[in-house]
Amino acid sequence: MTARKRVARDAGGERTRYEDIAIGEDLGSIEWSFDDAAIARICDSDDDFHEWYAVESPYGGIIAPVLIGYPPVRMLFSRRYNVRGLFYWHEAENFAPLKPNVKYTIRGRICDKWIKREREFVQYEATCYDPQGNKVFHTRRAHALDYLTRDVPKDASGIDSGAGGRLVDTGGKS
Amino acid sequence: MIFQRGVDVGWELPPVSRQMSLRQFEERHPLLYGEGTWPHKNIHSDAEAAKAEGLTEPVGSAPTFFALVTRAMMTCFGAGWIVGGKTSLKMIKSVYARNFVTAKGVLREKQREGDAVRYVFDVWVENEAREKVVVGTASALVPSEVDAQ
Repeated sequence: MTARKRVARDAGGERTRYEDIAIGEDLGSIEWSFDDAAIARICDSDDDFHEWYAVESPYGGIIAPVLIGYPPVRMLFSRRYNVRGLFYWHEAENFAPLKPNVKYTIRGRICDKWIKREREFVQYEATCYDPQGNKVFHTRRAHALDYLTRDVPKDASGIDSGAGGRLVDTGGKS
Repeated sequence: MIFQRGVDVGWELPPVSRQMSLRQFEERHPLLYGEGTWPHKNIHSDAEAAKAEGLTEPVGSAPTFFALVTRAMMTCFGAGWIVGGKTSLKMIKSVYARNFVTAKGVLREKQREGDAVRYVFDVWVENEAREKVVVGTASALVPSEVDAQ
């Protein structure tokens, strides 16, 4: 039987270690937009259908399900840290409808990290703004760095990578 | 909307169910992140990749299950969800491709916020064995002048 080991590296390079995560670190910003087809894709993937997502909404044209904001914030985090782990906790507040073909700006930061039941966690937050600078949504999220507990040696090579989904950084550090 | 102003604490969200599948697990990342931007073999789609992380088999992506809750909130509240909606959701148990999951919610309290009322629900997602896999809260903000308790 092979001894269990946590993944230390993958195709995206070295996995981020708990010690290397700095609370308060600025994750910078990205510009983000999506089109009607992207709305259709998330509705299909999430089995989430509504007239406002497909036909017309009271906001002028169609809007997107709020969880369309999940991937760009994950990518904002992935751009800085190679954390695969497991998504653990999600908090969000919706301020305005998400509309297609609008150039949004998302800014984020690391807001906490902790160890609980021998697992390492990182928490980050991000806010999405419309072109006028109004808040569209705010989110805080926590990931466990590894499914295996921290007493398991971190020395293996993995297949999946938390470095997936990198976006071109158009905003730079905010 | 199914929701009507004035409902009492204890009112239940309409349950939203879904049969999971490995196909959904496999297709999610390419659909949402774009083809090739996330490893094709990942913990959601590939047994070997999952086992490398210490998992027994591929697991579903948490936002998939959070979406069952947000769907219920959208169905009931529409604009009260899109502008002013809040969630706090915690994934407490893995979901596998064989699982059938259902989101449920019960109105816990109504809070006045200015000229509106926030309807706060205890929400959860459970599997076919009635084991909770997601727990948390969700709320919507409904303009109202009459039904705050």
